[in-house]
Amino acid sequence: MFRTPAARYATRLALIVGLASAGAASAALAAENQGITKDEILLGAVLDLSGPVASIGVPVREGQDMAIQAVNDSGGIHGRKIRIIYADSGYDPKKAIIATQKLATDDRVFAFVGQLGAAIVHVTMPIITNSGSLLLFPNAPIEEVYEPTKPLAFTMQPAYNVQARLAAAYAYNTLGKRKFCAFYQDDDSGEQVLRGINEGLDKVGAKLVEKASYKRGATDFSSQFARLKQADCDIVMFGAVVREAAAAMLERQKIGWNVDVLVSQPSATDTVIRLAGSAAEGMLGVNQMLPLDMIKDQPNVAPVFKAYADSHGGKLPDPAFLYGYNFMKLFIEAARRTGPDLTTQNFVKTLEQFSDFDMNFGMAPATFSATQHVGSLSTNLLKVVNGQWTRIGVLK
Amino acid sequence: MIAFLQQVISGSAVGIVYALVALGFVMVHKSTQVFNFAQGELMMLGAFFAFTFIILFGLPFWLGGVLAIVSVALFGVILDRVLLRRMVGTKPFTIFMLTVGIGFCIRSIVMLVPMWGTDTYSLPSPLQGRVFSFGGLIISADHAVILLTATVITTGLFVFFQFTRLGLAMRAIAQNPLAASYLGVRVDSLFSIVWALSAAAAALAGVMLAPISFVHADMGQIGLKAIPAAVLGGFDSLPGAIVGGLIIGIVESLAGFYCPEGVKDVAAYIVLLVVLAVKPRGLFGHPDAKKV
Repeated sequence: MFRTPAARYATRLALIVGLASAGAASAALAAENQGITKDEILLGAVLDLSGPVASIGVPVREGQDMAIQAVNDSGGIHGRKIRIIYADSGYDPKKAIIATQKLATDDRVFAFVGQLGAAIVHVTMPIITNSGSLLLFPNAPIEEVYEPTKPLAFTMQPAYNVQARLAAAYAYNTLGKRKFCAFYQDDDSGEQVLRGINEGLDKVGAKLVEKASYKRGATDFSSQFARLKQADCDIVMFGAVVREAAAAMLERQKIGWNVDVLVSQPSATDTVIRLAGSAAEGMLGVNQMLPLDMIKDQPNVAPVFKAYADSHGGKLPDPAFLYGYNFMKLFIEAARRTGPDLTTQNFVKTLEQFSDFDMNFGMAPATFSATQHVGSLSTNLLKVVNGQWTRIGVLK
Repeated sequence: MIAFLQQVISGSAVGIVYALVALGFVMVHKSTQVFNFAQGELMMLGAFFAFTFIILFGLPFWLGGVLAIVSVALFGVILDRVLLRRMVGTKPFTIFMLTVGIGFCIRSIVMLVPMWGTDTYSLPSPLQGRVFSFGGLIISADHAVILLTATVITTGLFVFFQFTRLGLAMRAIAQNPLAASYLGVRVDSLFSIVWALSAAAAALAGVMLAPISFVHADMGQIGLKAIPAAVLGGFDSLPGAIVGGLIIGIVESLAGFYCPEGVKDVAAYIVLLVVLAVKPRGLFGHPDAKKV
């Protein structure tokens, strides 16, 4: 996820809008049952449904809708059916602010579930929480959602640096690596991973021996890998996204360098193996969600995938579908546990008592408390064995 | 020294891909005075055709690659006959904008084709993973094939333009289409051949790049590196396009290895600025060449 000049402009806009709505916030907080009626729970979500990350936004919506339909078909939650209003941001923070403002103050939704994109969450979070709505499980791995803890914001996605920190510590302590290199995309997502690696290494008193970055869309990584190879590192930590990570694995194979590689969440996916083929063998990775190929035959997953395939010409869903589905299921479970007296305050209290809640679908379990509003700080440790991701552990 | 040579070889392989796309720019511009901004997209189309023939239809790599190049060449002819020929005589900027539009359309259509779409596909060459080693110097088979093929193709083009009647006719229409037509040169047919050749060069670049950096709708962005290559060479010079592409590829590669982070990404443009400051018409630019 990335920030654009438009995002910075939108930050200022959000501040103004946020301040303006702050006055209304106290009133909104008083009326804690906004978005809740006798027979309905009203939710909202601002997703990119037409812009550059629509390939994530559309499956997120499909996942959320499928979970909502299942619970509504079985009678709803304590007699209330869920209705959700979607708005398209086009990944434009200015549009997202207006859409969020409308959902929060006109429609008065109970919660925003699955808000998509780091830049979008960054500018819309103050509007949401000031209006008294909840910001729940945004699809944006950014620290500001949970650091410091905000009363009305909860997330299941820690920033990439958290996972990278765990990965670096694992490589140092368990694999015995001492000469670390980093290969990363020179934008927000890559920098987050780099920061995490440095944090992890700082803790054990180690340092990166070399780092090499690339621009998104680069096609040639020979000079980067030549530099890393010359530094003679014994592990290369990737903060790369799918296509570039796969191409870099081919480069590593091409120069005949058998160094270990540990990739971050965006590239610990099935697609990297599909693209890199045998060059991906032995690659390590961290991902909070297990890749689809690993879970698609599990008894709790197979029926959901089948229902999806039946309505999508036999296709398997996108991984983003599972985020939508899982996060909505988590909301549903929290609303169910809250009981018939569903208010913002009661919902928050209930969610803060979730402990090791099984998210299914290969996601790390959810634990919240009054002081910790990030549901999981652990991640799956994966390895490519015989052309497939295999879970070899959980990093905490 | 080995590291230096290694970077020069890797840079050359990438540079030759830039050069092939740049050749397409130059061929079309030289003969028709059109700046074809869709050249990068034609390269992407070549890669997608190759993916279709080789992966979806299961044809052998080389056959599929040739079919892809022929298909894109035909597409180039269609572009010329259906769209660009009608624009002859209009302002260069109008035609330039038309080619920008064509580029966007090609990209959108690729994303709409059900078997193509927005995904990334691998197109492994039969030689993938093989490397040749000469005393510490490693050359991957893919890179070797790129360098060899490109050398053969560019030599062929050079011979074609310098020593064949058709090539002579093409150079004639480049210098003065009206005079050439008075002398019996069929200008419109030649324009189609130029478009076919330039599209084929782009498609060849796409087929050779696909095994290294996959097949996807964003591949056309490499056209942005080919433009400096073409300008560096002088824009109306075929050898200039090749040399320009090679220089940019090699400079990028060396900058990535020896310079601080980030220099690699601007190296091409720095070289371009320096060369243009010294030789405003590019390395091989002709004094009477039109400004671009």
